[in-house]
Amino acid sequence: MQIKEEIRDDVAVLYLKGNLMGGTDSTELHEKVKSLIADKVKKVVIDLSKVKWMNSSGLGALMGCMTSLKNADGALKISGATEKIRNLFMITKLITIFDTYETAERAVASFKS
Amino acid sequence: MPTVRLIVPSRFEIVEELTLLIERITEQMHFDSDDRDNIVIAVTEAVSNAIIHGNRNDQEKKVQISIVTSDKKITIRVKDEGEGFDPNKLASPLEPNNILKENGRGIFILHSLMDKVKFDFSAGGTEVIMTKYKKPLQKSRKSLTLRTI
Repeated sequence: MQIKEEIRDDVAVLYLKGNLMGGTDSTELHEKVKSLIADKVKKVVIDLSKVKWMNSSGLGALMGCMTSLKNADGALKISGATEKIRNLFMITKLITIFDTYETAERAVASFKS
Repeated sequence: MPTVRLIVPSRFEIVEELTLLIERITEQMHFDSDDRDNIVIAVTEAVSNAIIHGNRNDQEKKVQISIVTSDKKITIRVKDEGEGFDPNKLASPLEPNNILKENGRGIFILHSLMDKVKFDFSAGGTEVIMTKYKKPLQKSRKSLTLRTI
């Protein structure tokens, strides 16, 4: 999986590409978020529009990122989840936990409203 | 019935490769796209569980996978070399106390995405046996219209 980072004002957008299915991918994502927190960037958008496959390990990684950000008084927003990823969010009821947006732009804008 | 048998090391790269194989098989079987996605995710789930929880990431230990296909269904068996577990003791990941946890959703997702999921511990390790049935073909619009008349 590839992670492309973009900083827009005080918001970091992490564009993921590939699969989020455990192993080093999940660890890498959580480490990336922890490093942002260490640099005082606590508003994070994770964009999933180019993530093809995700399973419970990927969901766990997103939960880990959200918890780390909440513990640091920050927030995580998710954008671009495809239909099959949204289906996983629905099945696991994480749709009620994650703050989701159609696009990264809208997710970034929501931090300002 | 056509059968594919694989014995693979406990490495995550395998999970990526399996998605391609399962996509191809389920496409050839003409499962609809939702069911294809569900089967792929379920297989990655079962194999990840076998690697992490069964074989404890020990690359010396193997995961056995068999895929049996017919006109009506696909059955996938995933077996690890672990110590097994009690499926009845798994907590629901939907409970308020569990919903924020990072782990504990794998088996729940398997049950949600597949039509039948069974566990067999009789040969040592855990064997997950999961089945997805093909949906019956939809009737054509013409025949539906005729019936209405």
